This record gives sequence, structure tokens and C-alpha cells, in this order.
Amino acid sequence: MTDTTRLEVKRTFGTHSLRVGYPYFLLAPSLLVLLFVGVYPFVSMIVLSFRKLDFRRLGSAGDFVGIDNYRKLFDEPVFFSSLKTTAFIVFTSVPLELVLGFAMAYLFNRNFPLKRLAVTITIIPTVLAPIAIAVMWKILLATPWGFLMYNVFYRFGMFEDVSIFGSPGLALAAVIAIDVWEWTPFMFLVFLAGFGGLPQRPYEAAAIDGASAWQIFWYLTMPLLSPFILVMLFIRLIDAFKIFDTIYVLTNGGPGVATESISIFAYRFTFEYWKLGESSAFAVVIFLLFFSVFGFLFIQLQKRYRIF
Amino acid sequence: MTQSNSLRVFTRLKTVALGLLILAVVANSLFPYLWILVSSVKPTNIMYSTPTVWFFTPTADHYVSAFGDKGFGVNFMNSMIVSVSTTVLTVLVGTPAAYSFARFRIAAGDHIFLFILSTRMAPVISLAIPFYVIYAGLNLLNTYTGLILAHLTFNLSFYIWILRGFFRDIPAELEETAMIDGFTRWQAFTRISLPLARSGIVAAGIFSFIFSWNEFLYALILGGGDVKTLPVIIPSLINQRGVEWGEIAAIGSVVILPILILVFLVQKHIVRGLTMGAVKG
Repeated sequence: MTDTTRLEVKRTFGTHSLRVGYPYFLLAPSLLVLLFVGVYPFVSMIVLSFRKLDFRRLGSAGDFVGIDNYRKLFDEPVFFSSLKTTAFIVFTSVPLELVLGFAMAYLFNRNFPLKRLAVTITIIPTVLAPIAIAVMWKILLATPWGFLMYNVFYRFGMFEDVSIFGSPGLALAAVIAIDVWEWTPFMFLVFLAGFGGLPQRPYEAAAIDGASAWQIFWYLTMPLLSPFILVMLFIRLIDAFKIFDTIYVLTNGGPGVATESISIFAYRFTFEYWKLGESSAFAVVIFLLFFSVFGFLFIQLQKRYRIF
Repeated sequence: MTQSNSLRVFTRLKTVALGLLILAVVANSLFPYLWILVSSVKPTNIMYSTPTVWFFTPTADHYVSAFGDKGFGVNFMNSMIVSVSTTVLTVLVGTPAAYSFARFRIAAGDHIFLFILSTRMAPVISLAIPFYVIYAGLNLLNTYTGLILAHLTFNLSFYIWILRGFFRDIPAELEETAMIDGFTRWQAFTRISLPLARSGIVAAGIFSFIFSWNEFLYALILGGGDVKTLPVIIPSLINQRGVEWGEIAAIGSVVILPILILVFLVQKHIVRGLTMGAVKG
């Protein structure tokens, strides 16, 4: 597929040597921009992480301090707690989203009136600004007048003498629940697309062979859907790892450091405590962590399915 | 006879139950963003009443006071300027690149492509910190240019990825035929492939607008006082004393309303947009 849609440069350009540059001429503006906004910050981040920075004289590079910044970062206890918090958020919310999204897609995988509208309304949370989503939930969960608070939780005698965003466990649960609300529709949408593309033949064969519903699900549907699941996991794990916006508005990492994700911690570290040098080291560490996960998943994905 | 009757009742019950479940799923997604819209037109005197007041005459007070009296109209304009400029730049710069990737063998193409993907996926906070230092040196902090450039990190790469897929869906034979008929390479691109890719370009452009419009972290760090976008003013309003929830709901509503409209324009391509083109839907 990929090879047949590409023209052979040689064939279409003949021997005119100037024109061989044509594809690169089309690419050049984009690459220049991405070099400036992608590579330049990346390189300067690495350089800065070995220097002592003064935020009052940002233009000038500070003195070389070796791995001091890294050492200071690893002395910071919140760094490790934020890693743990992020991991907890990622590994609870993403599986929940996957399972719920599957169930929703299964439910929607039939014909009913206004289906297209229903699907679009359902997936809208995924494309809304996370900041606006945080506001919505602040309004729904406001004490004591918030819609959900008054009409649902109080009716069942919940949260009457604890504040959701004031107690560490509940605040973290709320952050996760809101993430699940925001991103389950994404899983739902991809599963729905996956269901839509399932071939009929194997199912007919399985029915003839008398396979049970469970066997069909486990040996047929799951393997057929696995590329979709991998894509979803890839995209969502990466995004969830970076969670910032909703937490910033909902709790700003609190109470204490209960909901402080890596990104929130890095932000406060840099722009509230102004530890710029250390924070560059931090940025490098986040990058390394990120790319070890990202790279691994990406290579798996490409090797098995050549999806991207 | 009775058996088939009870079977019929059972199927009907099942249909009703499934219908209700579907309604519940839709309502669960819809209610929070519907409720912020409702709250934004709810008069202040019943905003905080318990039990919840359901019926009232809508008011534009919150919008007037937020965007008029308090001057957040400026922030709306900032958001518009940044998102529209980012989108226009993305389309202008990214379209030829996407075409090039789709049609030609590029030396080290897969690696370049992976690099482009990684600028999209990279943790924003990791890039924002060095951006801040670089911009401080270049006097780009607190400028439209700076923020627009930063937004290109994720949008340009997203756009190239998505649009490459759209160009690949157009058979190369069409261009080859046109070139046999005397079109130049460039004409084959502008007169054959470009018009055919129009719906893809529009969809990818709308997605770019949405991502830029919703973006928060770069705007927070690089935006500063003069180019604060709409999302950036929300946290400062929530964290002060005497929170005016009506006004915040109004600002939140203005953040979500353009997206609610745009999403219906791209619904055909939404699976593709949200999965970086991996799933065609």
C-alpha cells in the first residue's frame, strides 16, 4: 500500500538534477520551523541542565556546574512522590477508560435512530478544553450548591462532612474520575471504529463451528481489535503521563502534594520556586522517562502492525 | 404460542433497556457541558440556591460583566489571534510537507517522520521550560509571535501526520496521467491533488484550531500579561476570594462554544484526527 502510492522520484523527474530537490523544497519550511521549535529547545534544555541559572539574567548562560542540578533534583522528595502520583493516575484511569470505552462501544454497535448525533454528543468531552472541563466539574461539585453535590451526593448522605478537594484521597479520586469522564469517549470512538471494520467471515465460520460467545470474544474479537487497543493505549498513556490542565484548576496539586503530577511539580518547581537550572535537569529526566516508554510502545506498534 | 409471545415481550423489553442505557451514556457526556452553558445564563440570585432552581429567565449579565466590564473581551481576541494565526501558518507550511511525505521517497523519511511525531507527543512542560529561557533572551516572552511559534510544535506536526494520510488516499495515477497530458509537477500538485485533498485540509485545519484554542500550558508560561488567552484567565478567577461562578461559567462557555460548533464540521474525520491518522474510522 505505502509503496504503490508513492511516485518514484527518478521516474517522474527524469534526469534533470535540479528537480530532484523538489520533495525537499516542499519539506524545508516545515523542517525549519520544527528545528526551531522542537530541536532548539531540546538541545538548550540539555545544555541548561548542566548550568547554574539566574532567572534575573536569563539571556546569559550561567556557570557550568556539572551534575549539581540533577543531584538537587533527586534530593527533592516531592519529585518522587509526583512520579508515584502520576503513575497511579495513569495506571488507574487508562485501564478504566479502556474497559468503559469498550462497553460503551459494544452498546452503541447496533443501529438506532439519531445514532450519528448520539455518537458526536458523546465524544465531545474529548475535544473540549481541559480547563473548561475542570470548570464544569468545579461547578457540578461546588459545596453546597453544586448540581451533583446537592442532588446526588447529599441525597445519599455522601461528602456531608468532608470536602472532596480538601481530602487527599478524595481529591485524587476526583482527578481520576474526571479524567475518565473526559477520555472514555475517545476509547469508545476508536472501539466503535474497530467494531465497524470487523470482517464478517470469521464470525460465520465460528458460528458454524459452534464457538461459545466467550470463545468468539476471546479468540476472534480481541485479536482483531488488538491493533486498535494498542493505538489507544499508546496515545492515552502518553497524554495521561503529561496531565496538567485539569489538576491545575481542580486542586493545583493539593491538598499537600496528593494530586501533584510530574507536570504540576515541574511547573511549580520552575515558576513558583524559580529553580530554573534544576528544572532543566527535571525537563531532561521527564524527557528520558517519556521517550523510553514512548519509544518502546511505538516500536512495538510499528513492528507488529505498521499503523502509523 | 405463549412462548413466542413471551419471547416478543422479552425482545421489546431488551430494546427498551438498551435504548435507556444509550440515553444514559449520552446524557453522562452531555450534562456537564450543558450545565455550564445553563449556569452561564443563570441569574446570580438563584445561582447558589438549594434546591437547584430549574426554571428561570436567562440573563446575559455574566457575559456582559465578564467580557464588557472586566475586559476579558481582550483575552477572547488574544485566543482568536493566536489560534487563527497558528492554524493559517500550519496549513501554509504543513500542506506541502504532508504532500511531499505522501508522494516521494524521502531520504531518512521514516526517521524525519518519527522526529515530527515526537515533537507532537513530547511533554509540553519539558519544552516549555527551555522555551521560557530562550524566549527571555530573544524578547519573545509575552508576544503573539512567541506563543504562535510554540503552538506550532504540536500543531504543525499533527497536521503533517494527518494530511499525509489524506494525500495517500488520492491515487498517484491521477497526477501521473495529468503529467503525461503536459502538467508540470507543481501543477499536478496544485490542480489535481490539492483540490482533491480539500476536505482533509479543512478537517486537519479545524483540528489545529481546536488544539491551539484549547491549549493552556504554553499560554500560561509564555503568554504573560499582554497575550493572556481565555483559558489562562480562568484559574486566576477561581483562586481568588469571592468567586463569581456565573462569570467563570460565561468564560468557560465561550471557550467551549466554538468547539461545539466545529466538532460537527469534522465529525466525519474525528476518529482520524484523534488517533493521529492511525485509525481511519
